[in-house]
This record gives sequence, C-alpha cells and structure tokens, in this order.
Amino acid sequence: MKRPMRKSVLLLVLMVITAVITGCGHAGQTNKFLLADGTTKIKEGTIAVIAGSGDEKDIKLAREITRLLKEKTAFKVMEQKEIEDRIPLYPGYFIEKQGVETDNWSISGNYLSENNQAAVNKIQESLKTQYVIVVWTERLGFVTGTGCSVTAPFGLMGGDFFRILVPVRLVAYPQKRVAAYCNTAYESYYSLYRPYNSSIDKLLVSAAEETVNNFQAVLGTEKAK
Amino acid sequence: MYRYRLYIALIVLFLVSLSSCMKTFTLKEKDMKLEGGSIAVISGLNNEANLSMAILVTEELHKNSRFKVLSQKDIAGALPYYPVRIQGPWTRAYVKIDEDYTRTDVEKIKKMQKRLGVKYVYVLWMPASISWGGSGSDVDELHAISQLFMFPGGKEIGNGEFVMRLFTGGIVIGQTANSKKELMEQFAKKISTDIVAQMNMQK
Repeated sequence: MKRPMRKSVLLLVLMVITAVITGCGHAGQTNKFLLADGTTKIKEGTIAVIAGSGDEKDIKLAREITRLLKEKTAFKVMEQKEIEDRIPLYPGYFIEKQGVETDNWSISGNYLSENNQAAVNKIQESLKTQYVIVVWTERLGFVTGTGCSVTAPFGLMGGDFFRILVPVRLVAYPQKRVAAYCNTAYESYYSLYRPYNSSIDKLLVSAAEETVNNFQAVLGTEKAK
Repeated sequence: MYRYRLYIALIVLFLVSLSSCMKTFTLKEKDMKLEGGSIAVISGLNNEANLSMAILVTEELHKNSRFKVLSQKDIAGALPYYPVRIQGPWTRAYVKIDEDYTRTDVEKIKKMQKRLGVKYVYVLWMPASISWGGSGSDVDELHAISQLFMFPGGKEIGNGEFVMRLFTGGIVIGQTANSKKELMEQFAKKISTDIVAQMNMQK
C-alpha cells in the first residue's frame, strides 16, 4: 500500500519542481476572436501583421503572429522585413495605446479610434494587402500576490505573476474597417529560476499562438464561434 | 509587520543610493587620446520618451561641454527620417535589457553619420520599462543603454547601461525626483557629466 503513495508524492514533487523551473503562462482572461459584424466573411487572401508600436513586445508579437499565420493558414502573409522596406518608419508608434477601454484588467470592444484607423489605412496604402492585423500590448505589470492560492498553485512565490493586455484588430480592405477583434489579458507566473525576459518571451509566444488559434476559429465562418 | 516594512524601506534606500552612484557611461579604453569635435545625440527608438531623453542630453552637453553639439532640430533636418528605430545592443529588452553589443545596426548609424558629418555619435535607447507593484510601494523602471561611436571608421569607443527608477506610493528617503520627467532630467545631467568627465571635455 505504501508504494503507490510514495509514487504519487514523488510525482507531485516532480510536478512542483517542473512548474517552479518552467513557470507557467496562460491567458488570464480570454476573449475569442469576434467578428465585428455577424455577417462578415473572412476569406484567405493577402495579409500583413503590423506591430502597433516600436515597443519590443509589440514587435515580437507581430513577428510571431506572422510566422504562425504562414505555418497554419492559407493566407499570403507579408514578411516583417518587406513591411520595413516599404515603410521606413516601421516599426513605429502608430497606435495610440490609450484607445482601449480598460477597467480592472478587463478590456472590451473592438475600438480602433479614428486616428488609429487612419494610421492603419495609411500603412495599408503602402502594403496593399486585403487584410491588416494590428497587434499591440498594454500595461505590462508585475503583480505581487498575497500568498499561495488556488489560482497560483505552482507559483510558490505567493502567486506573483506578470500580466499584460494584448488587443488585436483585423482590418479589412477596401472596406477600411475592423472585421474581427480580440482582447486578452495574459498572465505568466513568476519563477525564481527563469530570467524576467524569458518569462515575458514565453508569455508573448503563447499570446501569439492563442491569437492565431482564435483567428483560425473564425475563418470562413459567418459568426464567431 | 514593522520589520517587513523596514526591510522594504532599506531595499528602496539601497536601490536609490545605487542609482545615484551608478555610471551611465564608460570609455572602453581609458588611455585613449581623444580630441574634441562635433557630437550628435541620437534617439535609438522612435518614441516620445526616448526622443525627450535625447533632447535633454543634447541640452546638457551643449551647456556643460566643449563639444560642438548638433541640435535635435539639425539632426531631424539632416536625416530623411528621424527619430527612427535602430536595432540596439540587446537580444531581448522587455523588462530589462539582455545586452549584446554585437547586435547593434552599426550600418544604419554609419549612414546617419554620413549625413550629419559629426565626429562622435552617441546613440541612446530606452527599450524596456515596467512597473513593479504590490505591497504599498510601486516602482517604475526605465532601462536604458547607450553606445558612443567615433568617426571616421565608426568605432565604438564607449557604452553604458543603467536603470532609472521612480518610487511611488510612500516616503522614499534619498529620492529627489517626483516625476518621470524630473528623473529623466537628473539622468540627462548625469549622462552628460559622465561623458564630459571621461572624455576630458569640461568647459
């Protein structure tokens, strides 16, 4: 009788050690990619992913989403290098980040302010793709927890974690309007054994994966799933 | 509980003292014979904070050194696009800077220098920032890195990496800046002092 018990304890210890070493990232509050208009149909054509700003996090997200769209979809995806060649100031600060409504870490709506829409339209004039995905990050923060909790079982640092908001907008052309959008707050538990930048890197890679997975879910559908 | 607060206060005091004695710039070769000449302070990123810092350092160098300092207006007039993002000396720069001085887009800097015609180009990047929050006191951090190139040739002769910290949400002993703007002004002065002293270019 003792052996299975020892095994399960060992397994639990291994799980905890693994979690401490690797940390864990997840979407804290996921909003699926939603179609702005229930009748919109997104057809796989030409697409470019634009970093909303010259911030390293935004650039990383744009690069990752570009790579994943090429891998996972039939879209003809413009390379980031080509975007840089066509737009000398790219990556630049095109998006006014305060445009997203934020309330207690929840974000809602498909907001792309008039200025932001105009900025994206101007970029598209040089890119001439049928779709432009604009992605950016807001409010990267380190949140100190108040002790081990059910929501942070493997943090072991009192549930301390990084949190970031990632708004994504799919703008269709020639209509010049948001066809689909996604707002998600991502979280990644802090691990003593992983440098800060690696935690953020992991957070951004999983954010990009989730964005593309969510995007695939609305392709060719009349309504958001 | 009081002991815990005391620890926090001591850590904050330690970090503030560390910031004040931190070197923002170091010449790579101490015995290098340098001559004066013209210098341009370039914002390595095209965001407002980075450009503001470049403007502040330009002003400080103009006030306190014998360099012929190019104004930001002159730089913007001479370059087709300014400020523009220049890949800086890092592999990753989200929360802090993982420095790698081989990653800088030196070719882009050389092209800029050709149009500016200066002897020295000082490039400053502020790529990472974060707010650390939690137990009563918040800390805003701005991470910066810089390189100084000498022409002709475009050899890197100096560099520096530093963190600007602003503590909020409590009384902080030793901190004299009350806003990010003030903090940046203080650091601009420090950068200018460090460059001028090491290159022996005091007025």
